[in-house]
Amino acid sequence: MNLTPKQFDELIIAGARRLLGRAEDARSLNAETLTQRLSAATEKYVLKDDPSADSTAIDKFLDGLHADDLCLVVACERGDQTGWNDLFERYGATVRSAARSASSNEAMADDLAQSIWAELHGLKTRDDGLPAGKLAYYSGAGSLGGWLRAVVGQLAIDQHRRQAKLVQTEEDSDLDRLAHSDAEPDVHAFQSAASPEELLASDLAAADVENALGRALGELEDEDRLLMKLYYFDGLRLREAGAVLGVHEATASRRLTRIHGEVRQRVETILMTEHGWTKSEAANSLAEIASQLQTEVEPMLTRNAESRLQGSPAGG
Amino acid sequence: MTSNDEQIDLLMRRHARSAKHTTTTDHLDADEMNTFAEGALPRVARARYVSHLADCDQCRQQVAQLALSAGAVVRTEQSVPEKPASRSVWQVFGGWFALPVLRYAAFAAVLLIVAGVAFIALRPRSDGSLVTGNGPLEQHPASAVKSSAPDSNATSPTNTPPATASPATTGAASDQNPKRDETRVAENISPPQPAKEAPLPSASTESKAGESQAYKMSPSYAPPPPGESQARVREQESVAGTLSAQKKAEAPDKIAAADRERDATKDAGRADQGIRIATANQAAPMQRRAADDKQKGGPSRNVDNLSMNRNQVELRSEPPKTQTGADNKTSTEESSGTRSVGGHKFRRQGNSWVDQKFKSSMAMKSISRGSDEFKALDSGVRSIAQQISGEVIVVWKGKAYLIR
Repeated sequence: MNLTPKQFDELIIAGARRLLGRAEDARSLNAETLTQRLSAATEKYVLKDDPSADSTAIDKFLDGLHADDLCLVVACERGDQTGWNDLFERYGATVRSAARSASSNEAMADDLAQSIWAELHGLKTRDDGLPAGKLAYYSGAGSLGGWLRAVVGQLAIDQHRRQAKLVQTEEDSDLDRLAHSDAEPDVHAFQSAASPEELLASDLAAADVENALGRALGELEDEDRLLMKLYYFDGLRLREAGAVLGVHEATASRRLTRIHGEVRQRVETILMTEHGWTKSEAANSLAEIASQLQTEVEPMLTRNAESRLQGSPAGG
Repeated sequence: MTSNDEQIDLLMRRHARSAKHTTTTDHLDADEMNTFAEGALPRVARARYVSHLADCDQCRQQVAQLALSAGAVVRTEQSVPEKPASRSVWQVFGGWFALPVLRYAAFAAVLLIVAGVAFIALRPRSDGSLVTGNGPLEQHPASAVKSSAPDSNATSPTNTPPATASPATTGAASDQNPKRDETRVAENISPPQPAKEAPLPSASTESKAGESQAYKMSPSYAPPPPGESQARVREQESVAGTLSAQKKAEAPDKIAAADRERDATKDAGRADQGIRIATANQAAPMQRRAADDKQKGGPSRNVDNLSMNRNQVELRSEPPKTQTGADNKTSTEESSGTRSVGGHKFRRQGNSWVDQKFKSSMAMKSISRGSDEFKALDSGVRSIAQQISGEVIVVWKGKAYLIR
């Protein structure tokens, strides 16, 4: 049942009052000062995906907001100096830490941190006379510290892009080309010396498997695809990938095992239906390519381990 | 991780290295990233962000960093792992037959088979156990009576009850001594002694069961060889005459006789199944043994018949047992007898001999001896009719014949 605008406003007002009641320090704010921000957050996180959300869902969302953080941000936005002081005091270390993580050196980290405060305050002025800072985008759904880290991360990426556009040396271009060539499907990587016919057949088979694998990955459920991307593409450990998804490592492991089976089944289906392979041919081809990859990866791992040992104090 | 998982794992790692990184034009803002990383998104909104993160490398990497720095690992480590997703019935059923399970099942099956074969092979075999398997027929007191039956036949071949029936004499019944059997045959042929028949009607009910078994033990005969058939017929006629004389002496009540016939017919029907089973187990070996003896020139026909009849009597069901009324039991046992002729068993009912295979539902054809119809009958039927005087109901090839 869709709520009428009046009902929605009443829900927001009531939610704002409850939020102020929950806050340890309401910073002299009233419910009306919060309604616009609460309405925007509710539209963004509730009604956009579920326009028929009832009052229960909306109340649940409003009651889950970080009341003190939101009151602090709104107070700062309204020019409350005490609020700004509290913000610097409480979150200065967080911003510096995030800037250091996103920067390659300490000087760049300091620059980034300084620019963050400027971005938060806003150098321009909005129509309502308030500064057009990034604080206006904090909804209160997550913690203020997490939001500040996200803002620092985005700002670092923006700065990197701006610098990359301005200066792209010939060396970088060469490196990009090299990286791109490395990224190309290297169908010859796992091939031993063989006749040209065998090499060609193996090339084609490997290319078919590679394409089928990409399609199979794309056909997975979003949640499963995200786990695969976090684990294989981003190089996260299973425990970390599970943490991003909010699940325990054991759960992530079970999911990964299931996804392996699904991917295998999809790949075999694609190879059989679209390339005319038999099931045994598909299974044998997967096994053969995997074994060749295994022989390819093991020397690399050995070399890496040896180099680490030589580089370490104990080893050197 | 199974070998299949390892293969896909290797292939995925290679694919991740070689695949082009994907990104979208629209990215999540800082608030959305943080809310997702902290797991604070409403359930309905989460799916949209998951879909975006699965396709946008830049946002995913930022969210991953945020989540890890926000202590997501610690949070999830403290949480309880989810139970495995509920599987469908077919998945569960298929899981029972998965290879990892089947290898244990196959081993268990082999063990069971070996144990079963060993049990069968090592189990002590005895014919007694097979006989015991035939159940209540052998447990009937008939086993106690059969030993005394020949003695009783010696004194009264015409349904004279035995004086005593002690289990101690049971072993004698199974004695295959030909001399004794021949003696019994001679005794069977001896003329009836009316002096001992007189007490019959006044026999006490305490000896009813014994009487019944004694009647069953009255000798029966296979089709006689040409030289003996006439003497045998005369002998049986004399026995039948004795019986009829006895019946006359008893002055039986017609209504009671009719009741007895009905009861006997029912009992015969009930006993029929038990007889068939027992006969299947016992008759064939006995016949084989008789044939062997004949070939060897061993025991005479009468001896064969006696031993076979004795076994058949042992196997016979207990009609008196199934009669419920005390009066009925008394009257039936007093007046009925059984005999076996030509492989058929006959029960005395009133003035007639009735084939035990006869059922009241059968259509019966009445034939007079000496008539053309009688001559047209099978030789087996005629042989039976010649051996049994008076009215006899014979069931032959599924048809019932009343031969007068």
